[in-house]
Amino acid sequence: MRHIPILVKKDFKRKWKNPVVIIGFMLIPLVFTFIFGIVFGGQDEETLPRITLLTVDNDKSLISNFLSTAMSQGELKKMIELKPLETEEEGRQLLNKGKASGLLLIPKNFGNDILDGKKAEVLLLKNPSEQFLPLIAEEITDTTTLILSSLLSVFSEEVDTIRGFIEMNNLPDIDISVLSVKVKNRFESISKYVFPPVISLKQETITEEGKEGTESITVHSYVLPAMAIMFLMFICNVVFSDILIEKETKTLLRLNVSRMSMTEFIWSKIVTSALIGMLCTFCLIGLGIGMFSIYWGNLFSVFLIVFCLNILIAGFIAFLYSFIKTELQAGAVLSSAILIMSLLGGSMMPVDNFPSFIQQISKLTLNYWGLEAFKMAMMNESFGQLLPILFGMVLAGILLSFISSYFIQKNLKKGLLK
Amino acid sequence: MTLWTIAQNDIKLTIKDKMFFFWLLVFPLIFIFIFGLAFRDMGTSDTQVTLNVLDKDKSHLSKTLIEELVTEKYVVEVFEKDEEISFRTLIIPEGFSKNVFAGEQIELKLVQEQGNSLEAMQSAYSHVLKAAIKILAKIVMVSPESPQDFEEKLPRLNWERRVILRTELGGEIKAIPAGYTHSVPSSTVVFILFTLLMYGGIILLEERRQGRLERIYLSPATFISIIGGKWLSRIIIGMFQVTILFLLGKFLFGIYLGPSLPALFLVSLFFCATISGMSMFFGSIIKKEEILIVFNILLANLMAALGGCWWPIEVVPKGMKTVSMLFPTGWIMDAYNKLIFFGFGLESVLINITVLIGFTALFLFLAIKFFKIRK
Repeated sequence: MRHIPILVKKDFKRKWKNPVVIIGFMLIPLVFTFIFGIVFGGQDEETLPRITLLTVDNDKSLISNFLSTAMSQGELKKMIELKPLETEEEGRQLLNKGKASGLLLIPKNFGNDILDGKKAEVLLLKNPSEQFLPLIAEEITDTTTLILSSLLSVFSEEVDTIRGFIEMNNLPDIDISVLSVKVKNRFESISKYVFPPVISLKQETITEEGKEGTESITVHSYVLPAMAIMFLMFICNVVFSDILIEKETKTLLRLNVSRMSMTEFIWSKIVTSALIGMLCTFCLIGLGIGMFSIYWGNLFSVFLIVFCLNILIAGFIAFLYSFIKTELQAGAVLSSAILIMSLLGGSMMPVDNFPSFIQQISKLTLNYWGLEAFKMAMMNESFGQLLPILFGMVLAGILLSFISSYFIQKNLKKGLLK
Repeated sequence: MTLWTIAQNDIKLTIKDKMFFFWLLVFPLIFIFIFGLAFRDMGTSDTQVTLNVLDKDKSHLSKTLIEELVTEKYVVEVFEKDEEISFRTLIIPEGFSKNVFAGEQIELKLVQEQGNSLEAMQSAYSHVLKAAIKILAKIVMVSPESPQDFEEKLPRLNWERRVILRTELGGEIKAIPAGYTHSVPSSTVVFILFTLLMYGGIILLEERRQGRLERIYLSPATFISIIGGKWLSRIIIGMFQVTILFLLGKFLFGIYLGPSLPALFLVSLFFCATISGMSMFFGSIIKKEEILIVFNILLANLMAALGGCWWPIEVVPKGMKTVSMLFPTGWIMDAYNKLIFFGFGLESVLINITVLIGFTALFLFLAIKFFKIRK
């Protein structure tokens, strides 16, 4: 085994002289983290853009005006941008061009129907090319119409009186005064319950049994480790592909007649790829802190994760090389395996989005466990909780390395003189 | 004729590669399947949501609130012990009824375990909020003197919603880009990028390196027929992939492809023409294969992400929507939206086709200008 350091040094020198591909693969996770950050907002910023809702008020009554005004008040104003239009045709044209998430149509006689005690209906046309924003617009509109309905029910007597006034041409002052007093009394009686509302609703996320979340995972701190794990596998592959190149260029044959054993040669590749992987991961972690202010958690835990994860990646890539004999096969099998594993393991989208049976398959991928470990470190989970994952990673990595060492050796010896 | 022979030869070379069928069919299908499953419920307001309720108050008012929560869309399960807080739970605190009738503020809590659907959480939040509004309205209408008074008077209360919201989808087609309906067009665009950029660029580079381009040039083939043949072969490969994936989308995943298949075909054709030109341009200016691979992975993913293939373009800030239209992917996704989700015809995508022709002209010009026969 004494030749391994010499071979590792030689491989390091070679990669140092031509680092473009490795740097390129390191650059991709950073670029993606940057883009995801812009698109979905870093840190605690709002994640969704303001919703554009077109409104066409064909009624132009006090009640229809209340409906649209209520939707652009307070907190709602930050979420929704109302664009009043004159005609339905204009609204439909804009919606069809994808210029808004929805078009709210208030029909003629909306106000009168309500005052007459009839049910009134408003129509929300949703943009069919959008998934999320029209649903939010629907919820907001539905809640506002519910509030309007509730107010109408609460003030039904007063509304009836107003209806009577509208039908009369001459309004007696005394009736208006009575109505004012009634409304005032009504407000006083309800103020106990609604100014402010006695029932409030709070939303919370729990991380584990009864424990409220303290550290939140930002977009950057999810994307960078997820992408990094995927491209670390590609980097590791760059190192391993040298096995086939050295075989084809007969360097391996020359090495084989020296005192170096084939086992040493294979283990040197495993060690080199693990070491280069570690170096790249540390660079990415550093750049993640510098560029995106990512909080990675306890340094010691992070160091151990990087160490164990790269042992696992090196073992896994070595294992795949057990089945590969030519560069062509390497191109086909390796990228397929890496991409599928990354897709299932959460490097391309959070595993939580998958149905439960795919989530079970995700647990068979190294991306999943690497991401879990990074997430635990970021959430400041105790070292004891992290330890089983780290232990599993190292164990699997070493086991895979031993298996692959045997098979790669067998394959290489077979084809050495071809 | 020479142009066609060159194109045929390129297609043969591409098809011979074992990896080609992975990129053409296997990967796209895996992606379509998994992404389709992951986003299958998004954008539909009728998906069932499970809501647990921990009723610590056990009063008539808390029961009334729970009754309000039970609808077709919500599966409500009531728990009584603290340790049963799980998944997505509404906690009605002790003293809820007493506080409400005394006019003192009380807080309901909606808790969710990390990792559960955020969309379902938002839906549940707004559902609970609406139930609370209804309860408040009923209390105000009854104006009870005591909780018992409310219990007695409530059955006689005639409360009905007088303002109703009806929703419909705009456009001609009643479909939204969720599940496979979104994953088929977006994955098709992503994999056209991968297939054409990778194969288009790398094969050209290889041919130049091995001197095959030079050999073709020494034959009666003209410079233009070589470029034309290469460009045509890539377009055919791209269109082959589009056709296969859309057909599988239709017959395997049951997605609707819009009322105008010629429009869908035409817009895809010009997209493939653009990317083919692009692949030849980068295959000419980048000299090393490994750098070309890394560059193409980056470029394909960047264009896919910024163009709206990875996530719905609606969720990005306005500035990013403008940025998406700087890329051919932004225009093709916009065209697919108009054709598939809005259900419009060819006239709606004329602007997209014009822009894609512009992109094609630009990259074809660059490809011709920088095309090199020799290494």
